[in-house]
Amino acid sequence: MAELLEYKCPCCGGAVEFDSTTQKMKCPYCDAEFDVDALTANGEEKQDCAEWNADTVSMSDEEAGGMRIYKCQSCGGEVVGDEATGAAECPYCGNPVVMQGQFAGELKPDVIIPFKLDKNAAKEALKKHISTKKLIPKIFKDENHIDEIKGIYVPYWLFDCTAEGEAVFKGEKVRTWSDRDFNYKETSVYRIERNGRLSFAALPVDGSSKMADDLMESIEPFDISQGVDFNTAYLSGYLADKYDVSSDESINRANERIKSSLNSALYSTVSGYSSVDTQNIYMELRDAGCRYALYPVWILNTSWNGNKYTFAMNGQTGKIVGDLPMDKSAFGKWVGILTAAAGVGVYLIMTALNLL
Amino acid sequence: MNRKIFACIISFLLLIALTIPAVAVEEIETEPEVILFAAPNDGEVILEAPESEAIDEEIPVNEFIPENEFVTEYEFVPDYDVRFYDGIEPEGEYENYTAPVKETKAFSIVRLIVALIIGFLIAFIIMKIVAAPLKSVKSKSDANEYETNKIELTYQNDRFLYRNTQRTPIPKQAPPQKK
Repeated sequence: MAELLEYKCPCCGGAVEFDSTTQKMKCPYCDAEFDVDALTANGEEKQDCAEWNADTVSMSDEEAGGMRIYKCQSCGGEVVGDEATGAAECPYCGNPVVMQGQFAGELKPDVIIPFKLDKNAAKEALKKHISTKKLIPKIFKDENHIDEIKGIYVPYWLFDCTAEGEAVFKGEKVRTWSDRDFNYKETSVYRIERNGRLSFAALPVDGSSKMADDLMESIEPFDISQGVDFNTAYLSGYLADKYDVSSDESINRANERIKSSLNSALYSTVSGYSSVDTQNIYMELRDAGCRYALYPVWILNTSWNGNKYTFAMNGQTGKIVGDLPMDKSAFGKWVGILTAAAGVGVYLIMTALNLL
Repeated sequence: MNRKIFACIISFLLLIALTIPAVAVEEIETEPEVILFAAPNDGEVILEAPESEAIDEEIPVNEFIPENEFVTEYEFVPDYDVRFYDGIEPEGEYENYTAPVKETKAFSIVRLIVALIIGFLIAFIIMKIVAAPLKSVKSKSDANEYETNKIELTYQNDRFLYRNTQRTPIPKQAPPQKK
């Protein structure tokens, strides 16, 4: 059985959590607050004395199916996670636990952005997200309740590079004139070449297969300047996964976005043409590097009418996204009303112009 | 509920379609119909009317106008057939010509259907725009937010390849048709 790490309050022995408001470790039982570094030192001392608990439940690899079983140091209950689980909550005593070894050695993140917004901020953001939108079913607004809300540190790969590009565009200049009998249109075609370089820093690509890529890209951007060196204490009280999509697998996605931006930047330098089309672009990366990071994300799940709706909020900036259901009857009613109004207008115009 | 709304809308449209065009037609028909046209001064113009309103009168051509100019004006009476005495129509473009007023249909079902289709398209596009914010999960196609500097150009060249000229004839205005 693998080992769990819990941060205990030096005052009362309760499990302490990272508090996003104060940016300190806080004991929910005695309200004592501690600096992350101070408590980590305390935790490390305990870690040296911890004994390795042998797994008493024998399970084959096939039976395990990628599962990992941990033992809670507070109550002795079993905490089940998968290969990627890095931090969780004991289902028996509710204490936050961190799976040791998931973020050690090469798996240790280079940087982490601690949660800046708490659970209440996420709830308020969801409420605002729903209330400001039109065409949402009234029942969904009234009966909507959050099934699950969880703060997760999502693994990201951050790509830094300087992209050098060679782009070829086809440009056209159009000149028109007329004489007594003819209209003339003269089209002059040019080959436009632009080479240039553009630097990128901390371009994030989601390193978790559990998280939908489009959902994670929708809550960007994160401000990496607020990132700090990784410390497991930041994970206490939240869920966390280690990456299960490698940096090599993430490179293609990063390249796509970098190439698109490079093309746009080179395109913007072309002027004086009636139309410009991209013919070809070649990209070469210099000083390319990759860092491993954990970013804070609030995931909120709600269900309505048999469907599950997932919302994600950037735990740093508060940007919330998530697709909402549409009231089809309200949509149809408004289409009908607008059709009548627009139809009358069009009919009157056609009558005035004596069309048809 | 929706069926009732649609029934009301259609009834309302039909009512408007039946009433408003009739008013428009009346207003148009009260306009005086005067047509000005030209005739060669070496010919004669005869107004031929229906038997009930026959006008057996030859209208002389203005004798003071030089040859090959078209300047004579006549007041045109609807339903009268105007022909040139020698059967030869004058060449050249008419000037000071006012086309006869088209007859306006009191109600057109085709017009109503087309108006409803166009109205539906407009309404659907508007509602799609209104509903667009409900979908907020989208992939990002670029990395513009992570650029650390502006594009630094290292080479640029614009090379002329070829030129293509298209020539389109200007359509000539056809002379107006006479009744």
